[in-house]
Amino acid sequence: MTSETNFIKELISDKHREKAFNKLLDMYQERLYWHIRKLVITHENANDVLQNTFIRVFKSLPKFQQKSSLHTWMYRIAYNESIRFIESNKKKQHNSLDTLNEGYVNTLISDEHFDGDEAQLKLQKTLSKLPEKQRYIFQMKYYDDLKFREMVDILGMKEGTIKTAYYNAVKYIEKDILNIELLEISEG
Amino acid sequence: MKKTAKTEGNVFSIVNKIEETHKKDLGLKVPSDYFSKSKADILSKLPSEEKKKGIKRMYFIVPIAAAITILFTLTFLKPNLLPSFNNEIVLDTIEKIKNNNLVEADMLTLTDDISIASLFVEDDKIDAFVDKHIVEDIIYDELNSN
Repeated sequence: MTSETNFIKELISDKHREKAFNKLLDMYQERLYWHIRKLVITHENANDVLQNTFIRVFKSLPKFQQKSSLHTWMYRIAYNESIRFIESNKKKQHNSLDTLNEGYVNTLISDEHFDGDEAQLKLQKTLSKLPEKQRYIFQMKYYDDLKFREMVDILGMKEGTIKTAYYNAVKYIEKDILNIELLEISEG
Repeated sequence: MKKTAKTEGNVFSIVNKIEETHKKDLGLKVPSDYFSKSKADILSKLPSEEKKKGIKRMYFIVPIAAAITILFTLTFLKPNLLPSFNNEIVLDTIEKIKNNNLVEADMLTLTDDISIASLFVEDDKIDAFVDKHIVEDIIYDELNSN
């Protein structure tokens, strides 16, 4: 029996649940927070979604069948909670995808917990130009350091499609940043 | 833009690297002491085992309480609504059927206990009888009780 299986047993046992869940929070709280934060952009939103994620994890643990690792399963829940949050916000604000992408940078700048300098804002602007799904894939790979195999379980997409989207995103970002720099040089 | 976080190795050292990368590359920050406060928040919002057990217990308590209430009401407040298994009525009804002294439709009106008599009558005839008499009786009782 693997240590993860034992840990899951502790998580669902009445006797060890509290201690095990504390450990789970220590292990995953920050990682999931950053994963969520990049999807929902602001700290306040990320905080709400993070709480919902862990409550859902807690409720769903007895039904977890271990078809994927606990790590991947929790990322999937965090991703789904984030998407649900984004979709419900879209409905509330009647935003189209285009205006939402434009709003990405504005929302980011308005967040008091964004402290980006010029270079960071430049990268964020470039990321905002990517189609949503492609941006998520790039962020998951580049910043959350997820494996393509894990992303298949989280996103429910084919590995080939994810790889293509990631490499296209990398190419686009490099090209866009280079263009911006060339423009700055020519203007400067 | 150089990648610094790696999945291999200790989970806790990865977390620090992830935070560093997010701050360094993306300019994202969190309020000081946020994660310990958030952890306490999450733990306080988890559904507790006692609450769950309480809810489970309610699944049994509610129907039992409802059954006791109904029995109490029928026994003490509306005793006439309970079917009375009066042996004399049963034997009398069976005797009449044996002797062919009773046609089915009459059974319902002549016997005092409809629930017993109805065992010997076809469903459609019971429905017709209920429509004709029982509903009228209920309305009459309701009017008199007010």
